[in-house]
Amino acid sequence: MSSSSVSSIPEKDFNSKKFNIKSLNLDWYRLDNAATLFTLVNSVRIPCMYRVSSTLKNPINVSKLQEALDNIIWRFPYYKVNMRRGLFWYYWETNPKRPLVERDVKYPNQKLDVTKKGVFPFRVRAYQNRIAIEFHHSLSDGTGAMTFLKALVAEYLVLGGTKVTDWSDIFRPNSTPDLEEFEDAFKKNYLKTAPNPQKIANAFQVPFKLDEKGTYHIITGIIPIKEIIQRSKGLNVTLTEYLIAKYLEALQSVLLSFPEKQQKKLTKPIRLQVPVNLRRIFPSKTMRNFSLFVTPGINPRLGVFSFDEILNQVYHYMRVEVSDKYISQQIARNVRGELHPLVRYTPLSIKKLFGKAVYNTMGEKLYSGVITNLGRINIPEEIAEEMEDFQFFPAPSPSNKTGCAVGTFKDKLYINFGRTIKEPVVEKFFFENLVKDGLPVKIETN
Amino acid sequence: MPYCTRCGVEVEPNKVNCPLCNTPIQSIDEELPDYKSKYPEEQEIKEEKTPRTAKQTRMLVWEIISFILFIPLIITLSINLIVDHAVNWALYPISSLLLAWIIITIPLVFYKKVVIIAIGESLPFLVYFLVIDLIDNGHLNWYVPLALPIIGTFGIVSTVVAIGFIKVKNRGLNIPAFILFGVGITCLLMDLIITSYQTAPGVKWSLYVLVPTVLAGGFLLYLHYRVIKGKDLKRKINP
Repeated sequence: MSSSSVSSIPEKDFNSKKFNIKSLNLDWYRLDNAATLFTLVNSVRIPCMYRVSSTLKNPINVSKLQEALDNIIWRFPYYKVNMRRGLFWYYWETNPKRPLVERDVKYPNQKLDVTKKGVFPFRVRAYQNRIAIEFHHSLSDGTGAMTFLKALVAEYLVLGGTKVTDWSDIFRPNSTPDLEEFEDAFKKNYLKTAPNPQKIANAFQVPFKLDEKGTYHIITGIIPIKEIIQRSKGLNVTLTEYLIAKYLEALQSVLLSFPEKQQKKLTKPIRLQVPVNLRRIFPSKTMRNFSLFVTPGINPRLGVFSFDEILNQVYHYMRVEVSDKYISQQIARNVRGELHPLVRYTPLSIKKLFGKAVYNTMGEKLYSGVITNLGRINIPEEIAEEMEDFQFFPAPSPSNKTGCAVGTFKDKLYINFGRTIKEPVVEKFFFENLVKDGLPVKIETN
Repeated sequence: MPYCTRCGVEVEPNKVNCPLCNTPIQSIDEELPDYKSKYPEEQEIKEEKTPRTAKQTRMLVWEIISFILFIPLIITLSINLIVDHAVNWALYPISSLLLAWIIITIPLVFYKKVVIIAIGESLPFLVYFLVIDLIDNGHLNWYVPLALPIIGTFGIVSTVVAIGFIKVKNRGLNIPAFILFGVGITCLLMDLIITSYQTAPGVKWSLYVLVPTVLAGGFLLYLHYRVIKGKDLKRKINP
């Protein structure tokens, strides 16, 4: 496949390209089930922005990156959109504008005014050798952002002269989008008869004061993948399970570090949100949101848990909960909520009033943190040779305070913690424990 | 590569303290190596919305109130025109609404200009009652003997109290004292005006008001200037 057939497009011709969205009735469409909630809570404190980035071997040429973006955006028509306000819901509309590459900043994942006319629900940023994409969560989940970044990096490298023979699963500008990529897979997999999942109690949340608005502290831990896999294999658990257990242990240590009086008040279940890529459970090619959580945790009211006990709990929990049956219960609850006539016919402005309350009681208050593992990033050899890393960053959360996003590229595991408080309390316990486990950890910050 | 001696992690060469535990990083070289940080130092410049100034807020309030008053004015006027093909009874609500509008406008526009406010708040009343008296039957009946002196009394007394409020240095119990004196004197003068209009010059009931207000006001002044002596009242009665 040759790539440079659509090398440079002058801005004025930008709209006259192939894949006729209008004739497919895709010039506007509803938000997917998960996106609806994210748009209702969008604010400076809850920006719903997450990020994937890749550092290349050589410094980024911004004009070349812009050219790559111009080319590749046509392969992702569902990202070339603008969120508009309807009477009852927001909806996506094809964005006639051209997304522009921006300079990177100190604190990533800040609020984006997605509902403003002409604004793309994502940012493409460049700094030194790094290309970063920040996605608003209403647009897609980690899988979508990763696919987009892979395609962008590949196109950028091809424009710079890299020869590629095997494209594997990378999207190319001259291929036609599959209609299944547009689908709201939640609604497709909605099992009407499934009962709602059980309600759970509020969780322990790190009780530190939020740092100033607009700040977001990143701590990246880099660990040789071989050694950490060896470690988790030795314990007969997966890497994700090992990291979940370590995160829970760190949160327990934070709780135990408070004086007894305060501890009593704070002692609530410690519970993590662990997103599951549902494309692996319910086959779908969708490039929009299609992930939900499982929520492993421990209850410190039962006493102090040793690491082995936590690991045991996580191991068995994950094996039970990550199943099509239990997940479809969650899908059913969420879709049912969206389709309820009382909800549907409430004007958007009133929905917005309740949005935050629903988000808090259904989401944020129930969790102590979030850990998401994108897994191994597979990229064809010829492209990967030009890349140094591929990282994944969580969205800021004012109630969980910390979030963790993990990805593996080549021989390294990248653990990215983002926090909205000044003190790196959770990160400190987390990485110190990994070091105590004999793992070499390299730390980077913003 | 530098390591943190306390938590054992490897840190970036440009770090002075460990990002996790804040322990100083011991470096072998005295000078920091040439190392580019992974993130830029600057954050995007945000277009900060300048907050409304006090004057802008006042003008906004004025705009909203004007608009709200304008609606009943138009409604009464048009109903009167539709039903009676003339403007007669609508003059009462219209003149009242105009009075309300002027009374609200003056302090919002001439904020803190005492003289203009004092005149601007009493003059419209004089005109308003004149108009009402005239609408009735085209002649002046009660305006000169009753309305004029009562409005004058209210205007002068409230201006004096307002000046007292502005000029006095330590505000506290002295302010309610001034208001009490004002109430007592207003009652006395009103009684005098009404009784003179009805029968002969004299006073009937107002002394029952004047005595307690003067006593209570005097007690408050005593408290303010002798006991509390201008200290912050909040501090004293903070629960």
